[in-house]
Amino acid sequence: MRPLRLTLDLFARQVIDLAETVGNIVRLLKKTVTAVFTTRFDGRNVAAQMHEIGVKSFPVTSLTALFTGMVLALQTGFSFRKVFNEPLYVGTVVGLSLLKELGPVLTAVVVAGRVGAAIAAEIGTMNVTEQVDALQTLGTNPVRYLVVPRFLACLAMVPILTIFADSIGVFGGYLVAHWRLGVPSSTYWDEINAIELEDGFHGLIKSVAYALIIVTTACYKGLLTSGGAEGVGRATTSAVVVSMVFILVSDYFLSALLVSFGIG
Amino acid sequence: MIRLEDVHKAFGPNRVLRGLTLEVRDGETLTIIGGSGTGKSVTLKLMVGLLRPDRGRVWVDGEDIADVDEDRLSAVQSKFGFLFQGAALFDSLTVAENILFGVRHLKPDAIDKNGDLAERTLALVGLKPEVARLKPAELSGGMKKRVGLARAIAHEPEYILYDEPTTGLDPIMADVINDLIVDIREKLKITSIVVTHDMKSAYKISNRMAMIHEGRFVAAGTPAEIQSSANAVLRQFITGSSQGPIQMPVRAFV
Repeated sequence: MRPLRLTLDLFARQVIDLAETVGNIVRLLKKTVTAVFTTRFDGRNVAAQMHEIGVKSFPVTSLTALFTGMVLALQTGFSFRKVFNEPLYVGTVVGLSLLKELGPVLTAVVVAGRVGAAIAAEIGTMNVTEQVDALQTLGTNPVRYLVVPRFLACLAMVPILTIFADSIGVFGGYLVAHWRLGVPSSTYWDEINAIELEDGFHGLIKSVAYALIIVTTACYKGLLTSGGAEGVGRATTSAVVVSMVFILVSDYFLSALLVSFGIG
Repeated sequence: MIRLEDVHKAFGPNRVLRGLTLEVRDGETLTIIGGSGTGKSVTLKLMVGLLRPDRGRVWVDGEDIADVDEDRLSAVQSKFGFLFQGAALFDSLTVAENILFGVRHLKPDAIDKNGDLAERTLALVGLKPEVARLKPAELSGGMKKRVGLARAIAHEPEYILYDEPTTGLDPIMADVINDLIVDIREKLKITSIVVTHDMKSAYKISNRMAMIHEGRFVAAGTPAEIQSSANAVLRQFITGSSQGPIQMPVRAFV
């Protein structure tokens, strides 16, 4: 009985910790949204963050999307050839999978790894070196100065990166479908063109939600950092892991919600 | 005037402050001494509202800041300058931007009138104008402290809080910082609260000293009174003896 009780205790503690983390992240999100509407727009800082979050993430998200589209076309083509003797519906499968799922999710996962870690490390380092305290004593609210620009930049850039990833992934799929599987160009692009706008919106709406998750989690973990260099390392890892888990878990619920509203 | 009344503060199971009461008089330099982890820095952060007490009151110029909202707290914080232990300069900004950071947010009019405010403030802490365009990574430890001090005084605060101002500096640079603290008090008539365990520094800069032990103040007085005190805890601390009522865990390789 004792091991079972200890296991249950441990599980209960984990659930409580998770609930506390989610609650605190939502509180930070609320503070941030309030600050967005009550703070003077700091265009220079937001533009710098957009460059850091969007432009610098572009190569890695593009490469991921290109090869995802390629492998998707390859697997779909060969699988359907086995069943139907022909590589049917490659464009449809590649397009829908990328626009609704893989484009937004993979982009978000890559951004969480690159940008989420960087944000948590930067704010975490500022926190352990008392720079966040210094901001406060110099009349600056850390949420307004540190979180709001990153929040706005992430909210703008993640959907844009997703649109690029979708396009590049579809093009990658075309390369394999046409040159490797022998699918006529017109067939592939006709299938892509037949995809409805709502399917694209489905993915874009999800990418906005993922942007919120990435930036709020990373900022929260950064602002909570304590314990010197080791603490910064812990915060960084935790920001990436928590963001990725939240992205993948929320993916199902967001998809179900959007489908129930007839979006995609 | 700053007054802390029966202040309690705990971090998890660690009860750092247990009913601390203290008054800081206008214009004086009060030095808080005590061992590591006794709550000296916590006391400073409570005074400026960076931490809130679990219990008790923190009065700044007659206003209790223990429960005020963020806007009101921000207004109270503008009365303070804070020199952090590691200077806490913003890495991404130049020295001039660091110095003007608080002024831009707290007293933006001062910048319009004085285009050379950063250079003039640097001069007050004994640094040349050329330093203004450097980044914090290009400064030595002593220069960082001076720039931190310049940033703390640039918006002309009423109170300045020093957290271990001489820690990590060589003895000569430590004395230079001590001279600066005295000089700034004389020139700007600022009330200063200093946290340190550097006794040489404490004797030199203080009008009054207070020792914190086990979450409360156990002794207070002028440097001369502190030096002649018969309080056993205080005597052990100021003589730096390992023998006495303050027991420290000792680890040795066996």
